[in-house]
Amino acid sequence: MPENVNTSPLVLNANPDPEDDTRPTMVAVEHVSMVFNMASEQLNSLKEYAIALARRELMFKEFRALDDISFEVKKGDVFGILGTNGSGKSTMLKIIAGVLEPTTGKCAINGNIAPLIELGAGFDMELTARENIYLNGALLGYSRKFIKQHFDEIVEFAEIEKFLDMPMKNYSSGMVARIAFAIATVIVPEILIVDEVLSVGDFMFQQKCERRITQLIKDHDVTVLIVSHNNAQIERLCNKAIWIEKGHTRMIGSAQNVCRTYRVLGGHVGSAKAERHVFEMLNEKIEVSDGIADVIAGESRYGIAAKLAAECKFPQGSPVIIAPGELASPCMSATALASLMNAPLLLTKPDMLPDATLQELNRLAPHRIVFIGSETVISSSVVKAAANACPKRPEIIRLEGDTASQLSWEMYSFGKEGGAWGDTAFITYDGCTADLISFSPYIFQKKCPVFFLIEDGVINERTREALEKGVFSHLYVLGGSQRVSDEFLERCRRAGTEFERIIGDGPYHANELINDKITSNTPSNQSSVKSPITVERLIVSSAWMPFDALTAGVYAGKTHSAFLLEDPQDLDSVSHALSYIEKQQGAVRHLTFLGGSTHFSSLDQLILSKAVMRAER
Amino acid sequence: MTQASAISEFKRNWFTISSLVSKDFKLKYRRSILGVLWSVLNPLLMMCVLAVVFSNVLKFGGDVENFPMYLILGNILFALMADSTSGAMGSILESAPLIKKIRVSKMIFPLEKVLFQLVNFAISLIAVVIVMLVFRIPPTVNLLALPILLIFMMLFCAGLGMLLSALAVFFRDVCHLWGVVITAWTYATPLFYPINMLPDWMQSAETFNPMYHYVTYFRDIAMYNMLPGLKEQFICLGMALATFAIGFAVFKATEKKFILYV
Repeated sequence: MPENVNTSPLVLNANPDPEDDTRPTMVAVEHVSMVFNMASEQLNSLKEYAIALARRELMFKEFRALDDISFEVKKGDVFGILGTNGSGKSTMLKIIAGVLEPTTGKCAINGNIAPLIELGAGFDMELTARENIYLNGALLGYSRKFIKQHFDEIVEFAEIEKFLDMPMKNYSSGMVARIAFAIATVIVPEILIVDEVLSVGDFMFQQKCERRITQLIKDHDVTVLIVSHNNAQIERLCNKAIWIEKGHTRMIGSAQNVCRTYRVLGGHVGSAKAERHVFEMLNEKIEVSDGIADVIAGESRYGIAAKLAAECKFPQGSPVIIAPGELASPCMSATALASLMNAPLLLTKPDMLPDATLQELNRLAPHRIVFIGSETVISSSVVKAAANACPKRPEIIRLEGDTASQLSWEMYSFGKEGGAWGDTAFITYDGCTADLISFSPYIFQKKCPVFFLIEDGVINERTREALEKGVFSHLYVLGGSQRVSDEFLERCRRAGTEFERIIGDGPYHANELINDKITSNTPSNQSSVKSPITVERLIVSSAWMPFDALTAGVYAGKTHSAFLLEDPQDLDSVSHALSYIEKQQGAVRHLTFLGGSTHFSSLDQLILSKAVMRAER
Repeated sequence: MTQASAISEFKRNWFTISSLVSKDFKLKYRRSILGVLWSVLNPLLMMCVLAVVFSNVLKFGGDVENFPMYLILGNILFALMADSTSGAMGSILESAPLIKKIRVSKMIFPLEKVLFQLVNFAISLIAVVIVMLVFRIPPTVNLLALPILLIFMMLFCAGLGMLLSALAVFFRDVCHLWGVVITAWTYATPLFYPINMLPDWMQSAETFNPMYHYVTYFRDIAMYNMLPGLKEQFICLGMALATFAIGFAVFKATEKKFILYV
């Protein structure tokens, strides 16, 4: 549950509400508030009551479940009520159903109601289905004659002919739900109330229920109220909707608009300002032209790595680097090695070569494969499988090392034999993945080795020697002074290595900071390094699932793209991403979403694309 | 509310109540071999036990003619009151899932429990018939007043039941307390001892005990071949009406808040 939930109403500027609607109003909710007195509700005995009275806290704790809610449902409307758990949806429905009385306000109902508030209320599990049908029908207000007439219909819908005279306790929960639904909908009501019922039972039953509800709507012009947190269902069935959050109306309007907004904002964390920003962008009237965004998706990080490698269009026969997909840090060092060797970077599981990787190896037909890591992270069976996957037997090289620190040094010394490293290096700690991803286009471009600390304040002996000798002219330090000490950096400087600490205020801020540094066309560009990396093409990667971006540095470097880290669940991050795109003043032309719809829904993609379109204007 | 809709409302509620009564009835006897026979056997066996205890051990049943008949009449009528009020007391709490989910007149739940006990009472009357046959007590025309007594009893029990069911929602203590009250009431009412055994002040106190009046009424018409006088009839009716009015008023005043407490 998000701690800071925004409850201010969101209003669409262009919301043409047809006031000339002449259909009769079936449900009119006017300024309804519901206040529960928390203190007196827990008092179930005289003693507790007396104690509370003595403490004078009897009337103090109030819980406002609904706060001044107003809406109207017209005849024939299918009205959806959306909201996260505990937001007051069910309380609202209970007030409409007449079970609860609102503390203040009015709820006027025009017509008879068939409530489906939690199916099966009043079933007695000891009784048979036949007896329960009569009992439940009676409780729902049907006459004996009516139940007799429709008995067969109910039994047929519920598909329980064979079990009619069996006690209900022997029924499966799906069967119970079927009977309950059948009884509740056998009548053609004027107003039907559906509360999460469609979430019980199996898939077939859900479809059947939905068909029955659709039939009631179409054939009998029934007015329906549906509560669900299944937003797709509401969008499919409803024409109007309200979004209630913590008892406040957030948005009311067409089901399509409300559901769209709920999908992007509902239940997500973020400040009110960020939320407004995202909301405005979502409803910005901009046509997004084709080709502004594309998606690189795969089944897993291994599939994505293979896709990225294929996108880079390496010539057949080039060497391949295979890194352990479960360890982020070695992959980041491997990005640099990939650039040095001009080799695609693939990932593997420790004990099994993923199919996507195998296919890509077969296609690339490398003459040489470099494995990053010892037996524990890449087993010899994987090495064998990889060798077998190649059309021609490749030369196998394995760089041994148990820690990120050791491996990063091994890669450096291995690379030194075959090519020239750049004169900029990185030193960081195991786990600083997000910042390294932001830097990875630069690392690839500049062939920068990436060194890892053994632990905070402890540097690998040989790495320390190399750095203190002044092998590099520039050193980027990711991490504060408790990780890499100032004295050490001072020694490096005396040896001729300029250093620069990169410390961002949170992952998104750090991302922006790094992008400003490595790209050459930002307005505030003070970087002395002329860089071919631009923000024209941005690779959008999910900040909370960095694994998909482990090998994307190679792709980014090849396409001169920069990274934009975003977490669609966190509105602050989305808002930050929007501001970033806007700040580039139209320099951003293209977005590549890494990970596909599992990480970025089509709406998440739409919002960023709209920002790109707007900034271009 | 128009008359027609009032009638349909009543019909609807009556069907609901009768469905609930038949549910309770089915559940009570499901899976017992003797089934409904227990409603006859139970009072008979109870009568036997009490008759043995009070005439042979405690030795004060001897003064009463047809002591077993005296016992069984008092017992089944008191049981009607005790069982129906106890059942009604928990009825709202038990039907909490229903009350929370569907709009249904809440009063049907205590009333249904009272009616259910009336059905049981009717069955246990068979036991009374058996006793009358065994002890050769001839039925008299006064027995025709039994429906009047039952109307008094229904009003009294329904009133008490509604009051208790409403109180139990807010104070669960009532549930624990009521068992004790019933036991005390059992001894305070001359069920298995003759009224003249009591000291004078207690005899006059009995006039404030509604159950004393109803039990005496029952014995008068079934055993002693007499019809209670008009004054006695009015006392019985008055006590029933007053109890019903109080119960009804308390229930109506509080029923809207039930859902917040069940």
